[in-house]
Amino acid sequence: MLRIWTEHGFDVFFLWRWILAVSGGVYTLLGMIQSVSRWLDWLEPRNRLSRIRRHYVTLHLLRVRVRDFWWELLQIVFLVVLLVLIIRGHYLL
Amino acid sequence: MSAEPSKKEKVEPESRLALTRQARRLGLTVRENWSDEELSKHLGARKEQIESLDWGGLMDIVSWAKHPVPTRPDKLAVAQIILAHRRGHYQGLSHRGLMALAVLRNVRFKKTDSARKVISRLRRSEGIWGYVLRKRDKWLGSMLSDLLDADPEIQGVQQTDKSSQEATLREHIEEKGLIEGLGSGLRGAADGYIHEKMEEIEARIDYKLDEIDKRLAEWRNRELTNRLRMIKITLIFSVVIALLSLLYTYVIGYL
Repeated sequence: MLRIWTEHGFDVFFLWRWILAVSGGVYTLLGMIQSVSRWLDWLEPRNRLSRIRRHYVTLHLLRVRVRDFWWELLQIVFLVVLLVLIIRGHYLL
Repeated sequence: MSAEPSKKEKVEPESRLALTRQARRLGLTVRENWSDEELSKHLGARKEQIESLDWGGLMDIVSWAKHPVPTRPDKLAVAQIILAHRRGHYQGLSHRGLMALAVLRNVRFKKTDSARKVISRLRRSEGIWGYVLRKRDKWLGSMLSDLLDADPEIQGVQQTDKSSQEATLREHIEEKGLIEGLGSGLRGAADGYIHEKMEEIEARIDYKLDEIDKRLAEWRNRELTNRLRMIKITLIFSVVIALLSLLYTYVIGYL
């Protein structure tokens, strides 16, 4: 929702917030697409070596245990919930 | 072994020399005055005699003589292996094995004979010269075995051999004579040494692979932790900016 103009006129903070959200979102999306495509390219089974590599990486991913990162994950979940609540708070004011 | 081979080979026209060699390998005493036809006839009869032997009895001899079990059930090939072997004692050989061995060594016996009687006939068939040669090989085997056992390194290798139920040097010399027995004994010791070394190398490779795997797992966990921290930092900044924005919106609302 573009809310640059308020009842008090043009607001620079609102513009900055909007530009930051759009640029940050686009940058994150592009970075993620680029990273995923690189990973998919690296793991593509072209020959025997890449097939072994693919299986080995898959095996290593399957061996990851959530309990090793539970504290980090808990903090992330808490921060996400907090962020959602704050964003919703904007609409309540 | 329940499956008995029913293959019956035909005597093909071969040269006299090849036929003689084959006949001797099958334990047939070839007489010089035999004609080619007679030789072929005797060889055919011998092959039939071997083919009629009990497969289980032949296998008993093979396991008693510590020979590797043949991959295909060829009685003639097994008979050649058994006849090349001249073990002097018969401990551990079953009754049917003794009877099959007696047939292969052309020893006459009755089907009602006890195992002890068959052994006695087999020993008698060796003759005095065979007895003397066997005793000589036994004595040489014992002497060389004692001599080599004194060396702790070789003793170690022999102990490894014993653990894998292989014949000792003394048994090799008793069965195959001095030169061939020594060769077999040394070959056995060398095989044991190589086998031991190969196992060592394999264990070392396994250990290295495990170490690489462990290091990769550690690297993966570190990398994942770093990524999660980056996400966390990004979220902290987002929350701070969102709070600022909320505060600003709140202040603007009251102005």
